[in-house]
This record gives sequence, structure tokens and C-alpha cells, in this order.
Amino acid sequence: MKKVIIAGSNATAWLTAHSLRRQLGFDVTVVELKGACANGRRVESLPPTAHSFHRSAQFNELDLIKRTNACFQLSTHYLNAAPFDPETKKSGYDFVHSFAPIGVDFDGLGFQHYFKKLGLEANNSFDDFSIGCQMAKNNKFVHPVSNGQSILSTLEYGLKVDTLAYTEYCKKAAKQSGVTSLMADSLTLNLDSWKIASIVLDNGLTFTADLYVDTTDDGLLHRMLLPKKSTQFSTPCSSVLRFTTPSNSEISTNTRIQAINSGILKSVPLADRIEHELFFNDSISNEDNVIAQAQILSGSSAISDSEFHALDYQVPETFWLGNCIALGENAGMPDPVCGGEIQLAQRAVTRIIELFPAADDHALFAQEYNRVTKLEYSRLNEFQLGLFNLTHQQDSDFWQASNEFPIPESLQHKLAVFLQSGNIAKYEQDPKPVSFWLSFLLGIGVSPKHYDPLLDMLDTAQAELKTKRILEIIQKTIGQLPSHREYLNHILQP
Amino acid sequence: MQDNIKKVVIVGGGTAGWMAAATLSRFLDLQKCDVTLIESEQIGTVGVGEATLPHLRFFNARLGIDERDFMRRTQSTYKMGIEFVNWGKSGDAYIHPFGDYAHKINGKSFHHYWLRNRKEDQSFPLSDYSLPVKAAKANKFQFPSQDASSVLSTFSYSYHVDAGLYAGYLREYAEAKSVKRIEGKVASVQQDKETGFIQSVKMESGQIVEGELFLDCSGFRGLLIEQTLKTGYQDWSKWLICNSAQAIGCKSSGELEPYSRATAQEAGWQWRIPLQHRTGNGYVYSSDFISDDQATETLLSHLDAEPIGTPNQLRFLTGKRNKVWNKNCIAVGLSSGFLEPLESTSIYLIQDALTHLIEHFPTLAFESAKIDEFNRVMDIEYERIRDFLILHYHATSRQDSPFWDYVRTMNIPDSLQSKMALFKEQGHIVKYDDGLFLEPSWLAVYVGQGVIPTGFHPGALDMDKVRLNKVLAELRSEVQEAARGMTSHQKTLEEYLKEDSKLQNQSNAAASLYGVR
Ligand SMILES: Cc1cc2nc3c(=O)[nH]c(=O)nc-3n(C[C@H](O)[C@H](O)[C@H](O)COP(=O)(O)OP(=O)(O)OC[C@H]3O[C@@H](n4cnc5c(N)ncnc54)[C@H](O)[C@@H]3O)c2cc1C
Repeated sequence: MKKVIIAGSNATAWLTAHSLRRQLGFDVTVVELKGACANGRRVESLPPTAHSFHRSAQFNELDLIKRTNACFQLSTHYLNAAPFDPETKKSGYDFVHSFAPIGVDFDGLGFQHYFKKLGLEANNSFDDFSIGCQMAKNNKFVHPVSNGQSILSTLEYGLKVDTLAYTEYCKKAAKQSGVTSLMADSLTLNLDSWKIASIVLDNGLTFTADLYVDTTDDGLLHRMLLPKKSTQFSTPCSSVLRFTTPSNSEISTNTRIQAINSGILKSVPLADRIEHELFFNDSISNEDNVIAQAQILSGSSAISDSEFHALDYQVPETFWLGNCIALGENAGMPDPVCGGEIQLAQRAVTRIIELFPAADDHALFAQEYNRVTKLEYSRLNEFQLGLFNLTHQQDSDFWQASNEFPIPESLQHKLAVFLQSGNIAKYEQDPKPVSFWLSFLLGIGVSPKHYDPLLDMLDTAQAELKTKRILEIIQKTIGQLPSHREYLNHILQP
Repeated sequence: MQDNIKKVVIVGGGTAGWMAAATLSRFLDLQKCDVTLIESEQIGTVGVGEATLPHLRFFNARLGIDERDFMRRTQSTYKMGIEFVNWGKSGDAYIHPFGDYAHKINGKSFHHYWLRNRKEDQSFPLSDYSLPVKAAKANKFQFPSQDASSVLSTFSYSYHVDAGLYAGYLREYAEAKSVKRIEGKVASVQQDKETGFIQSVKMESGQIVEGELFLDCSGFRGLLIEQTLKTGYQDWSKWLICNSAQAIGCKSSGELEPYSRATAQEAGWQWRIPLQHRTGNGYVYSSDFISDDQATETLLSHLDAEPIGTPNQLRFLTGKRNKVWNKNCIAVGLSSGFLEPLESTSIYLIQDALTHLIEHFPTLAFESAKIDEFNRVMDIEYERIRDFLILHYHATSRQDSPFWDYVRTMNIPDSLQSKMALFKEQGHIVKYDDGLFLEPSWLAVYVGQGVIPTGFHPGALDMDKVRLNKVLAELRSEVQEAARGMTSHQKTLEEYLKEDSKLQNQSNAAASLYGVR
């Protein structure tokens, strides 16, 4: 049986421990290092892919919601209150981006082409054709149904979880499945060229393992192995201010991402409070200004628990080195605004499980892990830079700098393809599906110059009728659905 | 209205040309856009593409073609995979099926448990866990089930088809939808002086055919893409060294097999493809290692019945055009590149190019990003298939001829090198999101060619031996019983194709090689 030691005490540590134990039956020990995991965000919105991870981990959703006070997420609400720009004739955006696809494809051509060809933009916005967006706008929730006839079968949802509660949940599950844990104030390593031979805790105890997973904030183990770091996957933000405000009476199924003069304000409403993160660049705004902005934006002085945190884009050059894997924030944050450590960890764990080496020499599998992980990080970074690149605000130094921030060729190509053809260029290892990119780009205001020319050759009368019908069905369905809070109360009642 | 293309010219009337014409006539309104196809009876076609992939069902379905009608008219039979004989070493044989092996166990790929069992205990062949293999070997075929819980849904199928008849069938389809056809030879091509875009082609008769978009389906010569536009070619012959083929039909004999066969020979391999009215055969070889006469001799001595006519000699260079789409010209078919027909990928690549063309159909602006994207995805597709084909040659222990010595010891692309290393170590199969050949195919070929991993995934130790043996025994007997209950290929075919047949095919055509479970 393989032995794994995990250093850290955050959600990443525990969900890794739990999964390796549960799915592979390994002997797993978590070394909870004092103060080594303090920087994590307080809340995270998990995408629909979390469900399959939870299933493999044998987490029951209802149980998870009950014990962590989690709630459902249908969409992200993107807001850019920038005033109308007379030069570009562009005003800011305001769109709801749901996990569910929008409209339906006819004759193998994407809905976006019909939207343009049929001139639907005159009376409708793109998100009118999505049940997910409309439910989010009206604060409704039900689970998707499996009956393929119903529009509710196209629904997809994620979960908003409190990070600490989620960590506790994973920890408990891990312990139940037989993960052992130890506390330590500090540790040192015995090295054997590029490998960890053993770890020595401050109490003198020594442990060896086949694989070491480092989830500490600053990559303690990994750094002792290879101090060299490089800057990769950065974004125009350098820092984040985290703060909390009281919740509203309704629990929104949204997460809100709002472009403001000095950066981006992300707000995640939970059942009992709203968690905010204000992303900014400290060479442009100072902390006092940022606090003041936060107060104005949240409409009150009722902000609490505020703290600043620097985003560190200095990451190890490889994720898996020798017999040690850097995981979590220390391995980089390619998408600090839209992503999150738990989702990164869920995908990483799936990968580790798939690539777990049977032999002592990990080189081959480490190389493959690094290759795939790097691809994934590039994809996530593309999405993040897309947001910074496509958001414009006049008189904002931050946004000017963001617009000048270099974007990778792959993103340039993706944007060009979309502008010219209305289609999404799909890359390997992108956790975001095509439909996700599509509604994001349309929402943020990248309008394809053309619809698919084949549409001029098709009889679109049928499609026109069908699109009308979709609108009617969505309207009708919405009216019959319970609110998010009602639904939560209903499923949580004993 | 946008600046739409109003005139498309297809040069070439082989399988590629008529598949293109049929596709365009289905997706374009020919009242608004004129489609003309030029072909030369004098030059003729290659016309040997006979083994296909399940994607062809999807292609036909999109055109609204009725399966029964198609099969009757093209002398088609069913195909559930390809048998490779003598590849890993002389005397070996395995089938690469259109279907997966068993199913995941505790979230881990089945083959890790198989590898463990093989090491620890008993060694049952991998094929015992594949219904399409078991059924194929028993010459059985029936339509796959759509019920994802049934073992009868673990496979898909395609056809063996008379390529000449299929081209003719599509011609009828396209002409009925008013695609124009011009018979004769293209003598010269006119380009825009500044942009180099193709403006028109001039026929030997003097007729000038103008166009806005040109599809080059002229076969190996690449009349437009190469001879005119000088696009250039990536030569892959250091990895795929065959450069010649001879093809010949012979009379049908024996029971009708629902699979094709590729038998490795001294300097290449020989195909056998059973159709309704005859069996297609051919020897694909490298003329650097044997003479054409020797090839003919080998080919004829391995026919299982009386030959029909004399062998048809073909030459080619494996590789791919630098750009499949260049300016206003898209190469479709043999003009875009050539990968030898070992895994029946040529017609599939025609189909793939047409699908991407429809997806990125240009306007008169010929948007560069559309062209770049089209070329990007075609490159990926070509390279992945290339690596998969190289594997067949490279993973061998044959030492009986200079040909096999070369391929066994040649340097292979890095992309393949690392894939093979991961498999050899513990059976890990590199996954990609989109691609033709996925885990089951790589597994079939690796194992079939004798690449047996040293280890297996450590997670496959999660049950005790007794239980593992029981699980595996159940999976084998599920396959065996299902295969036993299936109808013979011959009978299914007869039942399905007879007048007023009652047999219905409920299975959906999909753009995938495998079944639904
Ligand atoms: C040995 C071998 C075995 C194969 N086996 C398979 C298989 O099992 N499965 C599979 O999928 N594929 C197979 N293929 C590939 C398959 O044959 C081709 O993909 C398919 O036939 C398409 O050919 P094509 O239409 O591109 O070219 P061709 O068949 O060569 O057609 C070219 C056309 O262009 C016309 N033309 C050329 N020049 C001119 C001119 N100057 N003026 C006018 N017209 C012109 C010709 O008249 C002809 O109509 C095989 C190929 C080979 C060589």
C-alpha cells in the first residue's frame, strides 16, 4: 500500500487526503502545520464539475449543504457600470452568465447565429433564452430534472461553499475514511538529491512516504526542495481586500463580479452573509482608498473582517518535482477572480489519482502531470485575462493598464475566431465548456461580425417559431418555481 | 445579407469530390449559391477506399440518407473492427474493435484490474472482455442497443463499402439537388495577380469555370493546393515508410466476416475487405524493400479466392499539406495529405474537413481567423492519427525482414514516445478531449501488439483476489452470453436488405468510434 504525506490543513489538504484514501485505499497522513494555511479565501463558488468529484468522494450533496450551510449557484452576474463611451459607442455590460447553455442548436448551427440572423437582439438579450439565467435573475431554484423533454433538464448548477466549513467537512470525511493526522509547529526535510527522503517534525518524529503533497500557503516543502521560482500566469491585480457584509433577505443564486474604477469587486452571497473580494493593483490604488471604495460600494459602514492579501504569482517552475507535488495557492492562481483553490484542487486530485505511479521513480508521471496541469492553468489564465482585456472604463488607470496587459496568442486567436465566425476555438484541457465561453463572450459584448453564412441558405421560419416558443416556455416555467430560500428550506427540513 | 459566397467549384469527382458536393448541396441553398463539380473520366479516381469508420453513419444520417437504400446500392457489409494479423510477431492476431472493454471499476479503468489479474493469477485475453471482438470472431452482427445499461450497447459499427458505387450514389444525391457537373480535364488555373487567390479554371475544351471558393479534390496531385498555390508538404515517410500499393478484388468466399483484416507481410501489409459482391484486397508496401513484381506475387498468393481483373498500381507519399486551407482553396481528400489506410481514416478525414468547413464557412472576406482555426484543428487531427498509425509499426518484435527491422528501431515522434513510455510503465493511456482514437483503441493496439505494461495502477489493488476473480468472471460471461445470442452477420444483412424487411435499426449514428456504454 502506498504511503502519502500531506502538509497543510486547508480544504485542499483534506480533500486530497480523503480522495486518495477513499479511491485508492492508500495510507494517508496529514501533517497539520501551525500557521501554514492562513491565506485561503473565505468562500468559493464551485462549478457543476464539482458534483462528479463529490460523487467519487462519496459526499452526499444534501448532507454537505446541511453541514456547511452551502447554497446553490446558477450563475455569475457580471456588472460594469461604466458610463456610455461616446468614442466607441459602448456602454458597460450587465449580464448574467449561467452554467446552462443558452437556446438550442438547429440544423447543427449554434444558437448564437440564429440570434444574430433573426435580429433577436432588438427585443431580447441573449440570456433571455437561458433557463439558468432567468432563474438566477428571479432568484429561483430547483434541481435539474432528468426528463429530456423538459427545459429544466438543461439546467446546470454549482455550489457556493464557506471554505472553513467545507474544510471541516472534508476533514471529518477524511478521518472517517481512515486518514491519520498529526500536529506540528514546524518541520524539516531529509533530502536525497531531488527527492524527499523523509520529513522530521519539531518533536523529532520522522516519517517517510511514497509521495508528499504540499498544500501550505507558501509551498514550504517544495521550497526546501527547489527554492527557484518564476512568474507565471499573472493578471493585472496585485492584491485583494476581503471583507464581509450582512446578507439580504433573499439568498441570491448569483455570484457578482463587478468592474469598478480601481479593479474588480466580487461578491458571493451565502445564506447568512455576503463575502466580498476587491481585487486591485497596489501600484495604482493605496489601501486606504480601497477601503473607502469598499465602504461606498457596500452602501454602508457595515463591513467587517476586512483584511488585505497579496496575490503571489511567483510559483515553482514545476508542480510535481521528485516525489513532491505543490498543490493549492502555492502552485499558482491562474484565475484569482473567477477561480478558486478548491476547484483547482479537485481537478488536481483527479489527475493525481489517475497518474499515481506504482514505481518509486516518479519522473515519467510527474512530467505528464506537469504537462497537463500547465495546459489547464493556461486555459484558466486565458479566461481570466479575457475579462481584464474586454472590460473598458474611461478615466480608470487600473482598466487602462488592464487593457494593455499582454494576452497570450491563444486568447487572441480565440477572440479573432469568435469575432469572425461566432464560433469558439476549443483548446485541450479547458475546464470551461464551449457553451460557457460562448455566453461569456456574447455577454461581455464581443459581437461576432457575422452569423454563419449557411443561415442565409436555410429556411429559418421554423427556427423563428421555435425561439419564440423557448421564450414562452422559460417564462411559464419560471412562474412555477420556488425561490432559492424556499427550496433550501424545503430540502433541508428534517 | 452578408457578403456571401455565390460560386463554389469542386475540382475532382472521386470519393472526396462527391462527398463534398453532397454535403454542400445539403447545407447550401443552391438557388443562392452555385456548386459545380469538375471531373475527368480520362484521369479517373483512386477509388479504393472501402473500409470506413462509424462516423460515416453520422455523415449519411446528416444527409438524410436511408441506410437500407445506401447499403443495397453500394454492396455494403457491416464492420465492427479490424483484425491485425502477424503485427506484434508472426502468428499473432488481434481485433481493434469499435467498442470499449468492460467498464470502469471503482472509477478506475478496467484494464488496470485486468493487468493485475494477469500478473497475479490467471491470464484471460483482453478480448474476452469485448463484445464486438467476440461477436466479430463468431461472424455475428446485430444493431447495437441504445440501452446504456446493456452490454449490447458496448459497440458501434461502420461499413465496408464499394467506394466507386458510393461516389456514384452521392453523385446522384448531389445532382438531384442541382449540383452541376462538368466532365473534362482542367488545363490551367487563373489566379488574382495581387492576392494569388484562384479566380477560375480553364478546361481543355476552352471553357472557363469561375469560382469564389475552390475545393481541391483532385487526388494526390493536388492540382490547386500544390500545383497552383505551392502550399508545400510535410513528409512523414521516415515514420510511415510505405509508398506503394496494389489493389485487386477477388470473389467472395467463406462466411461473411463483420470486420476487415490487415495482415502484416514482409515489407508492408495486406488488406482484406469483404463486400456483398466481392472481397477487396490490396498490398501496401515500401518499394525500397521489395519490387513491384514481388509485391504482386505476395498479393496474389494471399487471395482466398479467384482474382477479378489485374492489380491496380498506386504510389503515394505519406504526410500532410502544410496548410489544408490556403487562400480560397481547401484541400479535401488525398490532395490534403495521405495516411495509409491501416485504420480506415481517409474517408473519415474527408468527412472531418467537410464538417469543419461547414462550421467555419467563409464569406467573401475569407476571414483569416476562420482559416487559421480550420488549419489548427486539421493539423491536430492528422498528427494524432499519424502517431496512432506509427504505433502499429513500431510496437513489434518482428525481426524477419529489413522492413520490420527499420520500423522497429526507428526514431518516433516525441509525442508518441512519451505516450508509449507511460503505457509501458503502468498502463496509463494519455487522454485528449477531442480526437478520433481514444482509450479503448490505444489499449487494443498496445496490448494486441505485445506492449504489456510492467506494472498497473496502484489503485487496482483495492479489492482482494477472490473478489477480483469473481468480478472478472462475471464480465467475461456477460460478453460470452451476449455474443452467443447475437445473429449472424449474413443473416442480419439479408433480413435488413430484403424487400419489405421488418427489421428496424434503433441505434443512433454518432460522431464516435464506440458504443454508448
Ligand atoms: C491503397 C489505398 C487504400 C485505401 N483504402 C482506404 C480505406 O480502406 N478506407 C478509406 O477511408 N480510405 C482509403 N483510401 C483512401 C481513399 O481511397 C481516398 O481517400 C478516397 O478515394 C478519396 O480520394 P480523392 O477523391 O481525394 O481522390 P481521387 O479518387 O484520386 O479523385 C481525384 C479526382 O480528381 C479528378 N481530377 C484530377 N485531376 C484533374 C484535372 N486536371 N481535371 C479534372 N479532374 C481532375 C479525377 O478525375 C478524380 O475525379 C485508400 C487509399 C489508397 C491509396
